[in-house]
Amino acid sequence: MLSIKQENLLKQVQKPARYTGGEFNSVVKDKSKIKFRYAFCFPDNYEVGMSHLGMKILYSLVNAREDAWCERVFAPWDDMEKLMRENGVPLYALESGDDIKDFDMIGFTLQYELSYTNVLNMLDLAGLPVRSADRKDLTPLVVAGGPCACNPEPISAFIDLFMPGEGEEVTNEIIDLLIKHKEMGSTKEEFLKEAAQIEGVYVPAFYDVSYNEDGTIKEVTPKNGAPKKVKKRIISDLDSVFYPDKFVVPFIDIVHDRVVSEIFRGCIRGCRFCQAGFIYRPIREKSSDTVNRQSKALCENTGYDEISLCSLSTSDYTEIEQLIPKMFDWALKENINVSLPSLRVDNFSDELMEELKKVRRSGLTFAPEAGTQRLRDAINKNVTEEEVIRTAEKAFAGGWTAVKLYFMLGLPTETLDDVAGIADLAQTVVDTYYRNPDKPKGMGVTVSISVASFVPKPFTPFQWEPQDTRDMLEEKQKHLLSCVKSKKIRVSYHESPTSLLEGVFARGDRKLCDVIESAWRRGSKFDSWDEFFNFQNWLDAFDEFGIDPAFYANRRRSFDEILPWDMFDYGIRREFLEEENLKAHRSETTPHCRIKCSACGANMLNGGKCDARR
Amino acid sequence: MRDVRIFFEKKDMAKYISHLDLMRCFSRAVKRAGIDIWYTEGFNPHPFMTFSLPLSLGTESFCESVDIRTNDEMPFDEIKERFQSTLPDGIRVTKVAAPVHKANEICFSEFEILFYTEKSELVLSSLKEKIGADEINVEKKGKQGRKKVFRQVNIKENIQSFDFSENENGVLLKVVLTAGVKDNINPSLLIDAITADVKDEIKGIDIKKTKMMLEDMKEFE
Ligand code: SF4
Repeated sequence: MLSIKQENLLKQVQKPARYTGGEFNSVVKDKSKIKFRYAFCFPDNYEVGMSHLGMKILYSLVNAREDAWCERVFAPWDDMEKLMRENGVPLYALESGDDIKDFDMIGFTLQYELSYTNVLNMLDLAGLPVRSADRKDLTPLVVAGGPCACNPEPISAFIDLFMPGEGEEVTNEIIDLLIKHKEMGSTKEEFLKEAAQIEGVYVPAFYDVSYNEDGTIKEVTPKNGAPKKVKKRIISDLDSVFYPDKFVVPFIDIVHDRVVSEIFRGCIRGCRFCQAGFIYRPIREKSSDTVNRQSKALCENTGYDEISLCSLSTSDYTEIEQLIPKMFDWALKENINVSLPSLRVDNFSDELMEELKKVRRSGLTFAPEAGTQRLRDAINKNVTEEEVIRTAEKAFAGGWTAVKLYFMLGLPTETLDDVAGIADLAQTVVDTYYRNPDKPKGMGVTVSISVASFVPKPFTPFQWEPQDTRDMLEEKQKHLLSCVKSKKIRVSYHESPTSLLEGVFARGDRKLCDVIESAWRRGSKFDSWDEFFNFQNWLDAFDEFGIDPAFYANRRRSFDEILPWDMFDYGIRREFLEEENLKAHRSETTPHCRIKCSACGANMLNGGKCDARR
Repeated sequence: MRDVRIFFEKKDMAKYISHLDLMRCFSRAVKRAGIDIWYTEGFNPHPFMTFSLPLSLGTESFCESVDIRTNDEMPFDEIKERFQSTLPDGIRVTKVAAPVHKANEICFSEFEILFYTEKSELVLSSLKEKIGADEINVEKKGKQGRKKVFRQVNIKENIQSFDFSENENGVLLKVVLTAGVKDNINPSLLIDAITADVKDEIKGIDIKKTKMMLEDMKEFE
């Protein structure tokens, strides 16, 4: 329950239901029976955070324990933040309305680099020092996980411990350990020493980093018995791992407001630019029976009328042909819509196409990512022009008239010819439409090209590559626009300095902690939101510490440079990534995992098992 | 097919659910409750559901109603029972029955407005004077084509009756305002108009809607 002081603020803000709690299925427990209070924070607004599957899983997982209570916390929008600061209302958790500074643990999920300033802002709003070293007490312990935890160095000064990899098991292990140390009356350091021994726990304060004169890392030395390499955690069997049967159902409209059913983790494709394709390996599938059962329970318990299957590439799920009819069997009767994102129509059977036609559908999207075959080979996006055309033909025959194509600019080895290839490919799709004899009468086609700037990420074959400078990207963009001739083609591209920042933090080191703190003190927050992003703040912050962002973003690294994330073992062998990098420069492809295992090494995290070959 | 009217309260934190969000909330609650609701036909079928009157954000209510249409004849008691565990805190079904009146027969709403203050006497006399004046002019938001415009209106005629009292928290105003399709008046308009002079003395305001009535002042059923 909110206090009168808290509630008074709600009368003055937009969308007060962001801050009330009380949503259906939100968990309220009896404080007197709880040993452990956990504030799970998403460093973005309610609508974004509530859409995130990982948070739903961990929320239910912790609340399944009788001794712990997990509550949700989101970054208040600036109208609310202002009122909270003016009225001395610290950041509170939605379920209880209690201040999170009094909790035992505060956890952040790091989904994108541009949310880092919000992490600091939320700690500050809670009334806590932002730096780990200034928080002397054992509790609240501040932890973080999520994909960006694969290189946590730029925010390592603010977080007490990181959990690289999948959180389902390690979260409970940390809670158990913290309960034990609380009861023993341990110091923070005593606790952290023992926590660092848990597999998949990284305590940044226990690693000393020294630098060469050129600013690269010279040496990383663990202390207090912390391991030299921290191995990310994975869940071995998805059929038996915890999956929620309830989601909190928000009042306000959120970004993804539906049942989300996870079907597998990892990806067989091996696209060289894609971090998700590597950091979630090895491949582990859920059986179609499990997916079907979990989806049905979630629909019944939430009242949602839409289910979305979640994975990196839905159609690579080996049991998709079994799953779809099973789900449609009950979903259609209940007026529930099943949506299949990251769908590749090309390898779908005709029966499946028929099933899909039964449900409502939005526009069709494909991601060729690059305009020419040469560059698609270099990034190992194993899609040929023929396949794109065949898919488009099938889609047009199935009644679609709008197609969206996703591309990237700034890919390694990209030339202006490759950029022109984007326009050519879009034109080919337009032509394909008009060749189709049974195209819908009187309907034109729209082909939208959506272009994003490529950002090199850790644990990918491109982790050593320089990111294009803003000038280079601008030139490529102009070239692309000049190559588009048809009015049926719409290009959306928005070059933004945010991709530079993203690149800096993705591959940054500890020296950036000062920069992030300084930018935040200058007022930066919600950096992924255009209306808040202030590039000048960041330039000033870099200047203050004499740091050149180009050192992190636009510099080619050599294979023998020590990378800031080298203390992590993500299963992927270093040699494999190097080989893939060299092959990219020769425009050579690597077959996907179902054709041939390339021995990336990730299966060793799972006792040699990888479902790509099942 | 059968029409069913569901009366409910919307209190505490639930008062911060907007009207649009409430519609979504109810359609999910109906699904969770396993009530066999009739879906509209057409390309995008949705559960048939109409609310008597929208309630503004931040106002509590003891007398909201929504009409649904069911495919079967599930007893009213059972419908009520099923809703008890499928609605979020703050929303509670009080009665399920066959509709007696049409929603467009609603002409008045009764509100209880509590002005939190430590200077009850001062506030009370100021409010009384304002509400008793010949004209109560407010700015009403409207639309002219696409543009948002403000126009001055006198809402004196929209006040059917009022009654002040004092209690330990401050001043309580019971007021009946015109409501419904023709002449719906948001109580916050009235509040803004009559509190202008004593703003600083008022620490907070609670608005509760207590009744919906027909032209003859009979309660809406
Ligand atoms: S172990 Fe082999 S099959 Fe599995 S992800 Fe790695 S390369 Fe692919």
